[in-house]
Amino acid sequence: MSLNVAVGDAGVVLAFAASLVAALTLLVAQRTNDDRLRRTGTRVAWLVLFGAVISFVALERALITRDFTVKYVFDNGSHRTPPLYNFATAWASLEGSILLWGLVLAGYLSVVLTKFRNRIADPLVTWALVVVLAVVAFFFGLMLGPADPFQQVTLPQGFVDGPGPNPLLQNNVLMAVHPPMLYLGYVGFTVPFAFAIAALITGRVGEGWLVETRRWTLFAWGFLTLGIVLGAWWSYDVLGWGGYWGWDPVENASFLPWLTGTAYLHSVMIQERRGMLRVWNISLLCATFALTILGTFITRSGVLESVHAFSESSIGPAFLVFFGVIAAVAIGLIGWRGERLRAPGKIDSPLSREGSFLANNLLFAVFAFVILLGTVFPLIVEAVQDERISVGVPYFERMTMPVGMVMLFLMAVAPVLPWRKASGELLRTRLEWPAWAGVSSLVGAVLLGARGLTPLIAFALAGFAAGAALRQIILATRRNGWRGLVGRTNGGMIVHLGVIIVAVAFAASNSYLRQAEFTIDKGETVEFADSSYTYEGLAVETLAEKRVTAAVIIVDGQELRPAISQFFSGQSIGTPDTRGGITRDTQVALITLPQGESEVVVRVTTQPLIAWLWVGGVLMAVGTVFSAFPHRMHRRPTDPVSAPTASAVA
Amino acid sequence: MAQKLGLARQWRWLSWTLMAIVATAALVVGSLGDSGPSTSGEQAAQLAATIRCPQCRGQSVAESNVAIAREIRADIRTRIAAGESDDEIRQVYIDRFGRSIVLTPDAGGFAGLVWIVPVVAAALAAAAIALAFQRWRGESNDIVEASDADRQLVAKLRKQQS
Amino acid sequence: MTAESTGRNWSAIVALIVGVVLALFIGLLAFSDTQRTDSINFEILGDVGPEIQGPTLDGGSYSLWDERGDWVVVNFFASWCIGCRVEHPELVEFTRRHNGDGVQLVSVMFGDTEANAAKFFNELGGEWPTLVEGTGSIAIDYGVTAVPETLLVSPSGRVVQKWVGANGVTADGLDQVITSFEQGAN
Repeated sequence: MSLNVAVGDAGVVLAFAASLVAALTLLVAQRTNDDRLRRTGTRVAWLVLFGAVISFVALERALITRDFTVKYVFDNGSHRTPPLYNFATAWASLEGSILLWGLVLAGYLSVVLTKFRNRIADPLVTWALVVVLAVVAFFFGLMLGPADPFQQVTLPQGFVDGPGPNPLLQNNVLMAVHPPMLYLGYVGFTVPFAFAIAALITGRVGEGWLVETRRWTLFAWGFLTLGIVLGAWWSYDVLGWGGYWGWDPVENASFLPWLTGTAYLHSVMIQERRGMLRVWNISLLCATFALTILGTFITRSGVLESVHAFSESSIGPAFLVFFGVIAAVAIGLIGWRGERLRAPGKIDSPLSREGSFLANNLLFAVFAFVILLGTVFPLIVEAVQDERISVGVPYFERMTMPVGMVMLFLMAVAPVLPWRKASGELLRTRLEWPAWAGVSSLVGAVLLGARGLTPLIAFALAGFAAGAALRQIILATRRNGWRGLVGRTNGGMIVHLGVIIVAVAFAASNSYLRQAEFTIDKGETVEFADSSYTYEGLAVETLAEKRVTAAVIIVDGQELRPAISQFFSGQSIGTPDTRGGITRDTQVALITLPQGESEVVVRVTTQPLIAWLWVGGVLMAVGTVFSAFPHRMHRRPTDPVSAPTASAVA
Repeated sequence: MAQKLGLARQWRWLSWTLMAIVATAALVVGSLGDSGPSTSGEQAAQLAATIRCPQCRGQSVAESNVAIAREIRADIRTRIAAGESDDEIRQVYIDRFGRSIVLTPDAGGFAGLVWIVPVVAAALAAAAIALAFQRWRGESNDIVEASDADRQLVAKLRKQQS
Repeated sequence: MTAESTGRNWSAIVALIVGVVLALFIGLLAFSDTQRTDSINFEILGDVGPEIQGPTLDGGSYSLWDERGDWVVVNFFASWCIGCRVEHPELVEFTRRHNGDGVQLVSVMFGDTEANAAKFFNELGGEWPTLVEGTGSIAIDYGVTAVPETLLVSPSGRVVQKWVGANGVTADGLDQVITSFEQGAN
């Protein structure tokens, strides 16, 4: 038996067993209130990380040494895959991706163990650890069953080389970055979820569990945002039609937890300040985690077809059952503790920060609902009417556009609203400059030649929202100097600016996209959409893993080399080339493999403001980091008395 | 002082009114200039984006490069040049490939629910929040702050607990 | 003053409703078949076969509607398609058996070039009408999305059978189906 298989299996078994033993130990310790037993439980829990690391190392070692007796390498590895992509092959296919998930989860578990090592006596922490360990047990249990990366294979006669990973996964460096980032986000939500469940179980729903996990959630959310933006960038670079977001089931699956997570991050501020919206917050947090599991089910079960989906496997049912268990537990606990969660205070006026955050929650909930409905609707129709229909981009664009507009509007108004109550007068004063910013954006866009009611309204609202965010930042920096840029509110405003920039880029690139397909003869120039395209000839490059046939095309003086890459496994994929710019992106892709050098058929796509998508994404990441800083000025502790008590004795 | 405030308020009303006028003018200019697809090529591209590629995983024929997608794109161009309307072309494809070839579901029938349900959900959400605010406003119109006696009571109880 | 004094336990009721909806949702997902990319569509069956007309590989021309009264097997192929290579010898045998007896074969090229189609026939043999121009719209007219796909057109002009892939497209298989349709008609 291969050493890699032995060590890998051992690691998985160890992590699985350790998680179960630790969880049981902690449960017993909880019941008997035995602190020493608790300590033992946490020590056993450390073995999970050990097991996860050695099995991941074993898989990488098998890949790097091209140990084809390991089934995962037999199915996905090859001598010809370049080193970086070979390393990334560890998460190119189903089993490896589950192992990566397990590794990241083990890492988060260890951080929890370290951070809370002095507070294990607290039942809240104990229960949270039990929940995390249960999730760990699920994932490592999967690897003992349907998703085993360490199966042994006897090499058939005349075996020379494996097929390598899917060509789309070894053509762009983002393969090494996007999945780990996404997982850091997805998996990160396990910890706040665990604390939420622990709070519900122990009944301590009003206290500091929330403050403890706020930074966790921000961290996970930040990585999820980054992961989604990187995924969009990867799609854009690789797919060839200038698309970066296709409302594809897999993309939607990653977007749904992002939506509920964002709603949570906002709504939680209300709970911190006034102890309200607790049912919302716990529900949103549980929903976020549940949606990550549901998303994983959708991606891996083959129930909905997608460009990004993993190949079908038997792992689907396991995830569906897990999702059901999580949903049942969360709903059961919230239903049970519901009355205790209810806060005594009331939201005094819709025109207040609390009111706007409540509206925000509803807006995000409706948004998530629409996306989920559109994604699974083909399944509903098939079940009820036995007819196959498609729900694609046109549906999602038409449905999400109004929601996006309302969201921009809310982003403009909410930051200026004070707590408790506002007057029209106050709004008119505070919103004056942001409104002028909005009108200026609108006029500027029209002067620049933008036409179309929808994108223009979007630009106006974006300017409005940006004005409100900038106003907040300017006021804060005027008050506190550079410290005005950090802390929850101000960091949040920077994130808002990032979102606004992304929204503008989305509206502009979708509304003013120009695309055409044409043939260019050698030496000839074609004019399209204010650019010239000259075809100069072919350039063929043979690498170890692929043969790249590139067409040399001069676009406005810059050389682009769109290519078709033929991989040794027999598959061919297109590799477009892009000319980026601050105002406009031009992408050229080869439609078919050129038969000779005399002419070439290309597809050209020009879109404005694509670069702003990535800038906005970076700004969101920066803002998230700033948000995590403690803002000392505002360190007002939660008021223990949020409302008058009925029986106050004078 | 009061006069100064009054002046500021007047300026602000003026400012907002001016904004509304400018914004409306800009929007009118902006939407009048929009003529829709300019060439038949663009019309073909727009239509192609709503037809699903039958051999791909969820992509439209505008996006995919497989043989059938290219054929359908060419076919769309031919039909538009022949003067067929978007709906006619879509119907031809539905007849040949089934309802799932079009990326937007039917507006009627059971499939039409996908258009209606979100709107209903949004309306319900808006109604719910409006109702809730109405009820809350009815309940307590004044903002009652916690009094010192309240705080003393709570502090005493917390001390007892710890 | 607290909300707990209200009679109904709203949380439990809402939790129950949400729970039921989610249970239905999970049931839906559990019992949905996995979708196949190559969703075979049989929309054309029973319809009159659209006209197949155009120049052929050997320089002549062909029209399907002129052959009304014969059984016509319409085969869509491409030189780059492995299944087409597999079924081709069977089609050669099929044409050898039916020489002017009221059963015909016509091939339509799909997503390929005339040169490649000529090379394909040179290599694998066979001589029967093969259309090489305007074949894209013919494929769309017949609802063909990939190759190989084979359709059977009855003497009355209706499409009565469709094979997707090379499975079943053998000389014997085709004969059997034609015979059973002829017997069924009597």
